[in-house]
Amino acid sequence: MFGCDKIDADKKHRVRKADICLVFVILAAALVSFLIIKLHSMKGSYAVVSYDGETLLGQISLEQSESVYYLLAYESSDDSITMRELSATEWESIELPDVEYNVFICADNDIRMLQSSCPDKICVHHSAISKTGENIICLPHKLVIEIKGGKENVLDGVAY
Amino acid sequence: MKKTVTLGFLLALSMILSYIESVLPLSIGIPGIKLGLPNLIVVILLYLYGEKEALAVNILRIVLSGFMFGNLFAILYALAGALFSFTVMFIMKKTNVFSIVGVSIGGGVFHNIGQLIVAMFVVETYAPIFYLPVLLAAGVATGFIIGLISMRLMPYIQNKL
Repeated sequence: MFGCDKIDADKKHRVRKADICLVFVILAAALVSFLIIKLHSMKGSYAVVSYDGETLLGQISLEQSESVYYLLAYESSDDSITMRELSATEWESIELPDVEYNVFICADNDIRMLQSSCPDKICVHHSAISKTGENIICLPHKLVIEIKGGKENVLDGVAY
Repeated sequence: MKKTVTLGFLLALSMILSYIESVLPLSIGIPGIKLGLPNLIVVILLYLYGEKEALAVNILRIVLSGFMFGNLFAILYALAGALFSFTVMFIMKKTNVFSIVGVSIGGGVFHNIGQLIVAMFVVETYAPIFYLPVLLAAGVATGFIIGLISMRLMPYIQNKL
């Protein structure tokens, strides 16, 4: 019995074959899901900005001749959101609101988050998006910017 | 009594690890990816005492450090990932097929999957699923690192405590 305990203890402190198999299975799953997503990605034509999954704030065409800035302000008193379109010159002269906000820019056929008052800034660090299905999410503000248009992708098939 | 002291000590240690992680996020160019340092304590507790102690310290750690360094939203978000990951680690340990490294990998991966599911509920679209490949790979990497560290630590801890 004592001998068995010793073997058990040894086994606990060594990487097992099953662990290595697990690594490969998960990495394979990651690769497969990556390929599925990549195969279905193509250049989108417009972006949908939505709040809390239901409130549609606007649709933005990606094909704009010059950079357009978008300022979203979250009014906490009456729980309303406003989205303002600003040109580059307007953006330079504007003051940021006191309430929670997001600022994103549409330029060169892609969309990028410029500023956010959220605590984690994950949306700001996100790279620019331009392909169908790509998105920038600001979870603290429940904001989703998603690229649409182009060919139907597999996820739309799942969703609807 | 000794166990209470040890659990308190490990809870404090896991909160320090939470803090370290909140000020020093592992920056590898992918937003939101964390090493999961506090999970080191959870994994070690799971093997040292059992699921009850590990779960209690895990939840206390999230709530306490959430109030200190985060907000209510962060607490709920972290709890979802932690409970999902904990359930998987508990089941994987019970099967006795995997070592502490495998269990930690499972925990890392399912922590990310749990948070992904919460994110999908919060924004009410399937959009976050695009992060799945990155989150799976990141979960394996961080889980492996945490698992290896716990595996190396276990013999010392078991002898000292």
